[in-house]
Amino acid sequence: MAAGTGKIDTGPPDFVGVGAQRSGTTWWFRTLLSHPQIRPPRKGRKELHFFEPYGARPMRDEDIPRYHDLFPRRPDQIAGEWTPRYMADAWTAPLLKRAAPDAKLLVMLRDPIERYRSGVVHRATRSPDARAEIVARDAIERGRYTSQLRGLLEVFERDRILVLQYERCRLDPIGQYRRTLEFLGVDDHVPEDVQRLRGTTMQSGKKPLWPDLQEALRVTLGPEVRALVEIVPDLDLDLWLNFSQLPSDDGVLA
Amino acid sequence: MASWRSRLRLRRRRPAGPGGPPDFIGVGAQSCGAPWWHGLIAEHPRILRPIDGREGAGFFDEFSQREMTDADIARYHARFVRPEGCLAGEWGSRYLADAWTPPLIARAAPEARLLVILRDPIERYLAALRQRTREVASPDDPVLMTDMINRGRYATQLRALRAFVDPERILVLQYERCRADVLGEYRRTIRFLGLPDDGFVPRRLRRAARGETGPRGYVRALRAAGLPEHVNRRWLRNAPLRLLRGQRVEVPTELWPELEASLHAVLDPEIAALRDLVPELDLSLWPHFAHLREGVKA
Repeated sequence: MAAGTGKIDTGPPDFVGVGAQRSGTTWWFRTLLSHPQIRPPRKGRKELHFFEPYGARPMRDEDIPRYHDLFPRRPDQIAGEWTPRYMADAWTAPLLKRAAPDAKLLVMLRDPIERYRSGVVHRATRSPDARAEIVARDAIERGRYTSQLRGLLEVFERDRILVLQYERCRLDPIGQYRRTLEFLGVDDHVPEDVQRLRGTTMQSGKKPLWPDLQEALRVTLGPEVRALVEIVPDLDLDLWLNFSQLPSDDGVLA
Repeated sequence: MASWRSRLRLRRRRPAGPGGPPDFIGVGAQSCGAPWWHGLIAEHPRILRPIDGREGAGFFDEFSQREMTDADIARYHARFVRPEGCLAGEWGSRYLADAWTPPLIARAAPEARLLVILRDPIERYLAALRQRTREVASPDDPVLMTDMINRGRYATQLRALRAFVDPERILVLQYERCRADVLGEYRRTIRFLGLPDDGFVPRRLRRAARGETGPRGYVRALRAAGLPEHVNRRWLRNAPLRLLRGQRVEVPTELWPELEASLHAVLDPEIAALRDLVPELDLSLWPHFAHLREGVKA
């Protein structure tokens, strides 16, 4: 397919990245944008946060064209956004289905304890006035991947969702990039330098966890990780070192 | 800062004796009547509040950011002073929902009995939303909205708590049952805490003990004269603050279908699992989850 011809039009996004925060989504979105057939939303924004207000009030039909208008592209291109909060906000999945019924969904997951460590630093940096316990609670809850994916699967078919593993993308960026392109239905392509497109690393600010907190995180997130394998059979748990030994079935996610 | 009520109570009943780990801790859940229930418990002549009156202040909150030290534990114990034969305890309505707290409770109060009071989680969500709407002009911060939903993950929270605390030392109460049979559940709670049932009735339950139910006579008269249902003591207490902020408060009382379906997607698996964890859970008291009762076909 030759890119860059035809009239620019707007409409529902062709793909939406819905999670997860601090899992390499900025890096991956920028890498996707290096493809000539993939367009970002207006003004090149990665995250639109469009559905966030609708946890407090209903989304009206007249709100939907405003969303569609954010995605210009030519007929031979696809457009999409990536807001990592969408997966964590329980109300978003049915709204996304209404606003973009044919969209393909992208999910990038990372070892949830490593995600927690990065998320706490990220939020504290972005919102220095936020109360520490609210930041910590949010960072833990965002790691409940199975519960969140099940919310998506209530309204989207499994084959409309591609779940990527951040650690695998780091190890094999070209292979996983091409896998993502195939899922999105665009031409094969190899970026010039995938490693140069890294997002917003927080490596320097991350703190080691103390034993009480590490154990608490393993207890609360372990069942989520174990159940995740059923939804994502190709998940490689050897890449998530914090969960090499998983706790037993807790019944909630069975 | 201790409330004026707490300070007044402490002046009335100044405890004496050594400090130590609390005998009991109420751990949640938020917006489930925990302050009401712990207020009733604290009326018992052999039960004492923390000496600083700082209940519900969340002692363990800060340990999401740093390790809890032995000095912190000593500071916690110093709050629980009681004479021989009395019990001391506190409640923190967020403890249950905060995943980092159970191992800290196990360290700081290894023998404490824990009280959990739960409410229909959709009613809990609406109550928390009303509370938040009263407190701030714009309640739509997604972090806090999602937090309000996630606090209803009772089974996940209870499982995590039981990983660190012997289930025999956890009493799970149902808010709706406490409202319907307040004296029976009160006595059950007192017995669970290890005190004999000596027939004590808290001042606020004396009408219930006499068999009087429903609003007091003057409230019934005011309602008959046109006082709206939502005007109660709490509404009146918050009225000056609202006037000061110039807020026009629109209290949401109903869910729209999409949000209700989203809440069920999150909460149904939790309540189904909770039913197994707490066999005495009466789902007929939680109409939003009546479809999960044993024997009800999906």
